[in-house]
Formats: sequence, C-alpha cells, structure tokens
Amino acid sequence: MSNDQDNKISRRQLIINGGWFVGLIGLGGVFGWIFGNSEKRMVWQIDPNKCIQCGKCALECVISPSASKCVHAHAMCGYCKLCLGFFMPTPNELNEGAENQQCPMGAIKRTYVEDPYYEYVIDEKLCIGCAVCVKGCTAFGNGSLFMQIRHDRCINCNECAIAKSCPSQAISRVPADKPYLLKNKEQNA
Amino acid sequence: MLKNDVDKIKSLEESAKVGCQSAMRGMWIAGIFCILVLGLLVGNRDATWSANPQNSAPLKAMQVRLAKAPTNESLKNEIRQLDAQLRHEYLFRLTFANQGSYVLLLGVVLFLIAGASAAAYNKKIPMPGLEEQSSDSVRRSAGVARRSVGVFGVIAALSLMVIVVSSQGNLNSEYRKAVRGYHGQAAESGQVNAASQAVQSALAPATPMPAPAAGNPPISSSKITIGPFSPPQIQLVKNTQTGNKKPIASKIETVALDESDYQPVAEEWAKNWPVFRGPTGMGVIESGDYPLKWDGKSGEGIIWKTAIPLPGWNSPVVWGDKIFVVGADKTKREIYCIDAASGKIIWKQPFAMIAKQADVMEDTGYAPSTLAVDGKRIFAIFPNGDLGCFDFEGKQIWAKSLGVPENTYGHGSSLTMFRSLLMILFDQGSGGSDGKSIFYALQGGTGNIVWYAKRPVANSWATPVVATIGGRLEMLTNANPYVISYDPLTGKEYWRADVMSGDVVPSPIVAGGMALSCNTGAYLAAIKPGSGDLSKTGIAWKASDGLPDISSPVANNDLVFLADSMGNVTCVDVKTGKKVWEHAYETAFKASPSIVVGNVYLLDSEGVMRVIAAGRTFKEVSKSALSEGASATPAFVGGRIYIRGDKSLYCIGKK
Amino acid sequence: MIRSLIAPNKAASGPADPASAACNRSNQTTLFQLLRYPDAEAATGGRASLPGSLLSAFCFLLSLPAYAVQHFPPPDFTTGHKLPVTATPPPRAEWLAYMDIGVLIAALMLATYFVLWKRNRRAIGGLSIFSLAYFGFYRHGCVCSIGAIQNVAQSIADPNIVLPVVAGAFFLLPLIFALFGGRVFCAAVCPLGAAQDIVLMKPSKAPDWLAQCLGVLPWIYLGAAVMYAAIGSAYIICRYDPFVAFFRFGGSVPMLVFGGGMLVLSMFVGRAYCRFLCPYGALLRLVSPLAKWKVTVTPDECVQCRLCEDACPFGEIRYPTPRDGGISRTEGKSRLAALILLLPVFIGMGAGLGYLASDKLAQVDPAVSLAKRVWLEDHGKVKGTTLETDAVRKHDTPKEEVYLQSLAIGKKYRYGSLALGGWIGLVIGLRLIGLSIRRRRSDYEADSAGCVACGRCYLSCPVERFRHGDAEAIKILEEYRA
Repeated sequence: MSNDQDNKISRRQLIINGGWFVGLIGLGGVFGWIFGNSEKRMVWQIDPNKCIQCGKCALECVISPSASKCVHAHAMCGYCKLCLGFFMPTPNELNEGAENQQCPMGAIKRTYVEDPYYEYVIDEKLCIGCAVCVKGCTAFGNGSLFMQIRHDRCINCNECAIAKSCPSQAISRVPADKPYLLKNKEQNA
Repeated sequence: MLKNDVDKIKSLEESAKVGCQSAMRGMWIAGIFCILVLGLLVGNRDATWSANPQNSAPLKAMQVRLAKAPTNESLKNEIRQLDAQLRHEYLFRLTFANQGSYVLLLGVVLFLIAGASAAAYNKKIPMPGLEEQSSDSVRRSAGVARRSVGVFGVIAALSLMVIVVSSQGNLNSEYRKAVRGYHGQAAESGQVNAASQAVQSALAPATPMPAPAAGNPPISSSKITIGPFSPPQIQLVKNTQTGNKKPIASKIETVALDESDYQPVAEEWAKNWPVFRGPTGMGVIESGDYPLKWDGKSGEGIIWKTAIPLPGWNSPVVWGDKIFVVGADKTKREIYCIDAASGKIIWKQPFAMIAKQADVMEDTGYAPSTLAVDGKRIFAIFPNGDLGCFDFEGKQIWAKSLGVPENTYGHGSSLTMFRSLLMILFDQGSGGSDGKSIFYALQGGTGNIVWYAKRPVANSWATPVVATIGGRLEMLTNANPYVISYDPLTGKEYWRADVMSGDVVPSPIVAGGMALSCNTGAYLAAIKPGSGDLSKTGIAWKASDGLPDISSPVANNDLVFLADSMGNVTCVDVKTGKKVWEHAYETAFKASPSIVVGNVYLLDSEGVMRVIAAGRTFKEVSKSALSEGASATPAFVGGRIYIRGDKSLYCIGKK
Repeated sequence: MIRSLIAPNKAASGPADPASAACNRSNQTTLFQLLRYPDAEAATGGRASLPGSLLSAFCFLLSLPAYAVQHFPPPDFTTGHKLPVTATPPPRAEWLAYMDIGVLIAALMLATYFVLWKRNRRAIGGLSIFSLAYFGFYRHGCVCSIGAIQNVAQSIADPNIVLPVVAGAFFLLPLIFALFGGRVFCAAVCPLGAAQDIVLMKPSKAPDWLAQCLGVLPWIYLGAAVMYAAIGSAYIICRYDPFVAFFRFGGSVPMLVFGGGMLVLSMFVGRAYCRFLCPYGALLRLVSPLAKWKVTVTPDECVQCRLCEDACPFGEIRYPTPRDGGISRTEGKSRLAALILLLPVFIGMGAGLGYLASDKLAQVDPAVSLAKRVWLEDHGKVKGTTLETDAVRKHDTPKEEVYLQSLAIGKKYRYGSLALGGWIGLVIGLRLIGLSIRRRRSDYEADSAGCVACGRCYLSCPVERFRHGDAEAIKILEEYRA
C-alpha cells in the first residue's frame, strides 16, 4: 500500500516536473518571441489632419485638465489681425476684451508685431484642450493651431480614454522617438 | 504570586481594551473624515463643470445681450469681470480636486492604520474547529458546488441566448449591396472580391492591343488590367539592423527591354514638343522666331483659341500638326487631340477610372501631369496612379493602375520618355525606408516594366529629366531629401545628393556640366556628377535666394533664372551660384519659365507673359496678357507658342 | 501660481493699429484682406458690415474641402521678428521604462524571498505597500501585467502591431517567477492585489459553491479580453480596471463607483477582484501548480492541529481527506466519465451560441457601430447625426469603405465569438470535471493554483511559529503532542 502510494507520488511528481519544463520552455519561447518582435516604446498622439475639433478630449482624458492641448505651429501661422482662433465669430471689437475672445480660459496671448501682423502665443498652463480655437483656425485660417497630446502630461494609459472616444479615430500610438504629429513638416522631421 | 499574575493579566486586558477602543475611535473618525472629503470631491465635480466658462449660462446670455447692444461698455465690463471670476473658480476647482484626492488618500491610510491596530487588539487566538470534516460533508459540498456550477453554466448559456435574440438582424447584406462594384482600398487589400481579383490577376500583365483588323473596335475591348503590381501588396520584412518592421512592395515583375518596340528618331523628337518643357525637358529653345507681343482681349497675335472642356494644369504637348492636352474632374477624364492649324478638337477620348479616385488639393487638380507623346503613342498618368496609352487616333492601346499613391496633394509628376521607355517618377509616402517611392521604366508599347528603382524619398511632384552630362546619359530626379541620378536604360543608380527638403515640386535641370536642383526652403544646389553619395563631396555651390516653390528653374550656360509664386524673379550665376540680379513682380509664377533664343519667357498666374532678356542685367523686353489666368508651362514649337489658360488653349504666332 | 496669471481680459492698450496701405490698393474684398486687414472693411462699410461679411466668408469656407488649406502665406517680417518655437516636451524617458522592468524584477525577487525563505507575513505586507505606491500611484497603474495580456494578444493576432518591450516584460516576468515560486506576484507586487489585501479587515468566508461558480468568471473574462484585444476593438481589462481611476486621481463616474464598490467589498471579502475576475490570475493559476518551490503552510511536518483551517481569508487551504474512510475510491467514477464525454457537447453548445451572438459582440468595435449608424442615417431610419458620422462625412470617406471595414471586422467577430463561446463551454465543463475528481491529501495544504502567497497562514501554524522561535507556540504544540 505504502509502496503504491510512493509510486503514485513519484508518478505525480514526474508529471509536474514534465509540466514544469514544458512551461519553462514555453514561456522562454514566448519571451524570445516577444523580445524578437517588440519594438520601441509607443505613445499616443492625435493626427491633426483627422481631428474634427469636437472637444471630447478635454472631457474624456483621465487626467484633468486633459493631456491633449492646443499647440501653435508659428511657422504656419498667417499672423492675421482678425484671427478666428482667437476671436469670437462676430467679435464686438478687435481687442483682447473677454467678450471678444473664443478661448474660455483666456490662454491665447495676442501681441502686435508689425502692421498688419499679430502674434498668438498659447499659455499652455491655462489651456484646457477644448479645441474651440482649433476649430476657428482650421475653418478660417491656416490651421496652424491644432490639438496634440502633450507628453509632459500624458501618462500613456494602455487604453487611452480619448483615443477610445475620439469620433474620427484620430488618435493612435506613434513611436516614442517621434512623439508629435505636427502639421509643420520642418518640425516633424 | 498568583494574585500578582492575575493582576498583571487584568491590567494587560485593561490596557488592551483601552487601546482597542481608541483604535476603533480612530477608525470611526478617519472613516467619517473620508466620507466628508469624498462628499466635497463629489460636489467639486459638479462645481467644476459649472465653473468652466464654456458652460456658463449667464456668460452666454450676456454675450447675446452684447450682440444686441454692441456699444454697451458697462456690459462689456460685466462680461470681463464674470469671465475672470469663472476662470479663477475653475482653476481653483481643478486644484481642489487634485489636492482633495491626496487628502482623501491620507484619510484612507489613517483609517486602515486604525483598523489594523484595532484588528491586532481583537486578534483571536486561532482555535481549531469543533469537528473534523466528514466524508459526508465533503461529498455534500462537492455536490452542491457541482450543481451550482451547472446552474451557472445554464445562466451563462441563457445570457448568451438573450444576446443572440436581442441582436437579431444585422446589416451585413445591406452593406454587401452597397459595396457591390466598389474597388477601393479595402477591396484591394483582399478583404472582399477575391474572385474578381483572381480574374484581374489572370489578365496581367498588360497585353498590347491587337492591331485593328477592320473598322474601329469598341474601346471596351481593350483590356484594362490591374497589375502586375496592383493591388500593391505590402509584406513585412524585418530590417536586421534596427529591428524595425517596414513594408516594402512585393516583388515586381520585370521584362527585358524590347528593342523592336517603336522609338522616335532623335531629329523628330527635337523638332517637336513631346514632353513637359519640350524635347530637352528643361525649357530651352535655341532657335526659331517666336512672337514677343500679343493681346488676349483684342485677339492681336492670337491665331486661334479653343476652349478645353475639362480643367487641368497640365501643359500642351505637340507632335507634328497635333496638340494633346488632358482634362479631368473628380468623375471623368478626357484626352484631347487638337488640330494645330485650326484649333479644332479632332477627337476626345474618355479614360475610365481604374483605381479609386485620389484625394487631391485644388492646386493639383485631377489632371496635373503633362502627357508624353512619341510620334505614335500618347501616354497619360493621373493622380490616382492610373496610366493609359493611346494611339494617335485616340484608341486605347493599354491601361493599368500603379495603385493610388500616398500623396499629400495628389500625384503631379509628369511623364517623360527615353527612346521606347516611358519614365514614371512615382514618389509617395513620407520617405525614409518605407519603400513606397518607386521609379518605373515601362516599355512604351506594352506597359510592361523594364526596370524599377526603389527610392528612399518622400512624395514629390517634380518631373525627371534625361540629359547627357560629361558624356554620360543620366536621368535626374528631384525629391526630398535626395537628388538621384540613374542610368535611364537600366535603372542603375549613379549618384545621389542629400540637398532637398520640403515638398519638392521644381524639376531638375542641367547647366554648365552640373545638375541644378532647387526647392523653396532648401537650396539651389549645383551638383557635379560622380558616383555614390555626393552630399558632401559633389556640391559645387549652394544658393538660397529666390528659391521657387512651384515652377522649375531654367538656365543657359551662364545664368540660372528662378521665378517663385510670390512674383520674385532671381538670376544666379551658373559657375559661382552668386546672385546676379533680382526683381519683384506683384504676381505669382506657377508655370515654369523658358529660355527662348536669348529671352526668358515668364508666364504668371494671371495669364500675363513677360519676356525679359536672358542677360546679366534685368531688362523687360515685352509684356502681353491673355484674357484669362494660366498655370501651365507653354509649349514653343515651330515659331508658335501654345499656352494653356485656365479654360482655353491659345495658339500664338503669325497668322 | 496659475491663478496669478488670471486677470480680467481687458482691451489692450498696446500700439494703435495703423490703417493699412495695402487694403486701399484693391476695392475687392477678398477673404484674405478681410482677416488680415479687417479695419479696412470696417472703415468702408461701417462696423455693422463686419459680421455680415464674416458670415459670407464662413459660408464660402464651409464649401472648401475638409483638409486645411494655407489660406494666408506666413508673413515676411520687416522688423526681423523671430517666430516663437513650438515646445514639444518629450515623453517619459526610455531609461525610466527600463527602470520599471528593473523594479518589477527586484520586487518579484524580494517577494519570492519573503514568501519562500523568510516566510514573513510582515515583510510581504510591507512590499505590497511599496508596490501599491510604485506601480499604483507613481506609475498610475499602467502598464500592468493584467492589462499586458491584451497587448500580447493583439500583437500575436496582428503582426503589424508591435509589442512594447515593457508590456512584454510585465506579461512574462510574473509567469516565469510563478514557475519557480508560485504566485508571488499576487502576494506583493500587483498593485491591485495589494490594494485589496491592505483593506481586508473582516474577511468572511464565501460558501464553497459560490466561490466555485464565481471562480469561472476570470476564465470567461480572460477569453473575452483576448478576443476583443486580438480583433483590436477594445482593451476591456483596462476599461473595467477597478482601481486605476484611484491611481490616477480621476476617471469616469462608473469607473470610480465600480472601484469604490470593489474596495468596500474587499474589506469583507478577501481579494474579490483577484479571485473572481482577474484574468491574469487565471493564467497564473495555470502556471503556479507547476512551481518548483510551492507555498506551504509549513515546510515542516504538519501536526494536523487544524489551526490553519480558517487562516486563509481566500479559502485556499485544502483539508486532508477525511479519515473516516467514507468515500470509496471508485465513487463518482461514472459521473466523471459522463462529464468528460459531455465536454465536447458543452464546447459545441457554447461555440454555437457564441457564433450566433457575434453581431451583438461586434457592436463594441467603433467601426462596426459607425457603419451601422451611417447606414441607418443614410436610409432615414434614425434622425440626426453623431459626431462619428459627421467625421466620416467631413473627411469624405467613401461609405463603401466604412461598410467594407464593418464587414471585415464582423467576419473576425464570427470566428472570435465562436471561439469565445467554445471557450466558455470548455471552462464550465472542466470546472464540473474538477469538482468530480477527488484528490487524496494527508495534510493541510495551500491550494497550489489558488494560493496568492499572502503568508497569513504562517501566523496560525504553531509549527511555523515554533520555527520562528515563538514561545507560545511550544505550549500549543505540546498540547497537541499530548
């Protein structure tokens, strides 16, 4: 009886040992496969050409305010005096009064450069990523204002909440060494 | 002794009781604190929403009032005050949420510490259960568990059934109906229509049209084939150096050069205007008597003017007494053959879509590429990669698709020819090693590929040029970032130079024994031909004044002339690259300038042709206007100038 | 600091805007002039005309194609004004990502040491607090081993999707460690496990039948997560992660409520998520029985004191076979045989039901629901449009492409849900078979698959306490020996 028990245990042990080696080899194989195929780190980014400026990324991002903010490619900017990224569609007057500004946070600073050019600089600390200015600039202007995920804020969730809810599927993973999809070619290079 | 022990135990129990009570009290306090903070955070969530100036109803109402009373200064001040107040509040709420979360976390930690110490006081000494497990209880509990798992399985099945019932009626059959006959990207990538693709690949490679026995066979009898390299099959290969996966087009089948295929005689070629920028491809006409002055309004100097039904930015090409242009809109494309003597359209030939229409910019249009003509055949390429060959009667000889290119503005490079080879610069994608940009050399008679070269460049819009430099025949291509020279017969790369950037539209030229390439934002670079990478060693000079963005440069042996879309004309010395002069017109040059017997002909986008002396000082010789704008480069043949305006084709010359 | 930036936005008192000479050149008001020289317009037509002409400009612009056109060439400044540089803050440094892997390996090694060598519950608890702080609050719970299942599944299914090294490492390392020392990852490295373990105060024992039923859920969850990730529709594990919203200090209301509920539940039911939902736990259950060194209540001889019977808050201590000999060895053999024969039937039923349910399951995919909505809108079955369908129209995407994509994904779902249904059948069938097999045990043992190596049972075993030099334990032991 006890001999039988011993046999049983050793048989059991044999199966477990076999399984152990199979498991080790299997996991080793997966390990090799993963590191043979895995690549650079990826981060999330918005394709500004697909973005429809719905403003959802301001609401859906898991951090608050959103990691997606408006950036300004100055090299593309027309420096318009009447910038419809900055001003309401029907501004009362062309000055910086709150009643004329699109930006709910007053995050765009407008400064006079030379006739007839004005410069628009975004104060990113204030930007909440609502994309109101982007909408105006894309419809009326050069589209030099556009949405980008800011990597100093993004925590790179495995399933990006704003990518999930983006109506135009504009957000995807890009290689971490080229983390921005700027419209301006020179800056992208 | 015993009493002492009892006292000790009693006092121990007493202190344990006190400790336990205080731990419990701490737990309660921390718990209530957590709930309070949680309540504040929940309230803060709503407050944050309403503090967001975007959601503020009073602010909106005030804006409406202001629109009605635009001069109400006090209302403006009210708006500003409220706006500032809301923004304050909003930022405060955001900070509050963040810091409140930390406070809540702290509260939870305190709660847990208190809880853990209370548990430590309350810890019971482990005691064995009263009874050992009996066989009956083991059997019973296993039975209960089995039955419950069974019930669980039934519940799982039932819930799947509920899903099945609730999902009745999908739209798949409707979708299939809607996509019937659609040949788009998804269709090409093999998701549907596998059967029809098999048929198509069976037809490949393109077969030349049999000689018409009698009468005119209907066009539909000429076979439209997709292939041999469309659909573009992408396969992934691994680059061992970087470990990057990159798609490269699958192996393209090539055929040997067919020496018996028709090729034009050199003298004939030189006498006509067979490709973009004439027989040299560089817009230089060395002899002839060409008009200097005309007037589109009065008709002075204009032999005829013919309206072209469909739009296109491509230039006219001329062979003998026939002129060919192409026009297209989003849905249709037509090739026009025009009688040089009368200006009448002799025939027009529609060309059916093979691939899906491409997305193009207005500046590119649906017919940006100039035709190529070799005396017997006319070749056309369109932004969606469709390629057609027609005879001089307009009959289609062959047609194929190169696949819709990945091109920001739409493919715009024109065709060029070398002997019987049709040269197609098909640059696309974002460059680097994505393997998408390819140079194709096709047998003119059949459309089969004789050679091809993969190019490490981004999408470009320049036209290649074949020229003899230093006794060697080279085919020059211009793209971002490389200027590359190939052997036009074999496709072997002679050299390359990294000098370009941006969206390259201007085509290369040859002057002073050097290849000249330029693009706005990069340079005008003079490259001495050699072999290998000449980026560091082969650059004779670089200049950066007046760089064109659309039009190509033109040069004689001494000077290079550049014209940009801001109206600047710049003259640069070929030997040194130094600026000789510049002149600013208030217009835009989109058509490429030509040097015609000592003069530079500059056509601007308003249709005004300025003739300036091709010399070291700026001198305007004449200025003539059409009655419409123009963006296509004119053709200079036999003393006549053919200009394609925005709507019409003009023939200018002596009647 | 930010608040100091806020002041009422007043009209600027900057330089007066000089009237532009350029606008006088042409009488024709182009959009270009309107936006660059709006004053000219205001001067000629009065202020009231400004909105009007903007409105017409707006109508004109709406007719333009969706892609942005460079309406206004960037200016050449005569004053030599320098353009500001657009900042592009880099993502988290690469070495930090490798540090995460390093911390993971170190934590796993420490956990193995604490569980198997030191056998110290306090050290295990301390390490789990560290893991909660590092992988949870510092790394915001991303990427975690549980979620990494999806990255691996997706990159296996679609070779175009590359697997980030970090995700691969997080997926594999705990499994490899489990092959040596059991579920030490669950014990002290997983931040989700740590969060539940720390709040566990008054564990109540779930009845065996309930635990057996709920124990099936992780397997189903695993199957569903793999299916959705492999098709590329969603990462449902991340979407329904209980605590990630806490780690990030923010999240949607349902996420926070679910997480809070899970946390409160975990105070009374030990590791509810780990035991009844966690799909990675399911994988570890497969590997951990093979472990080279298993977690034991005591490495020494069991004295059958029965003190550990209630020690495990997760119900993973298996009792020895009753010594009354009431169960014969052949008992239930026929039931077992029947269940084994029925297994293919279970699988087939599940597969069939799964196949039929595929259309509903596919609705999770945004492309599928988009195609449906587009079709319904185009055929007047629903009123109004959604942002998603607006985007399709704005980008001029051919409807055929939308439908083709939906068809292609729908096809994948038919295979996927067939497999998922079969998997569910298999899991339930195997669970029934497992409940019909009786293993003989002579001692109290930790279940090699279910034990999360928390080390609580070490504290109740007198043999173990004796080993650690606990004087009280000697008394208890003597009692038992007597």
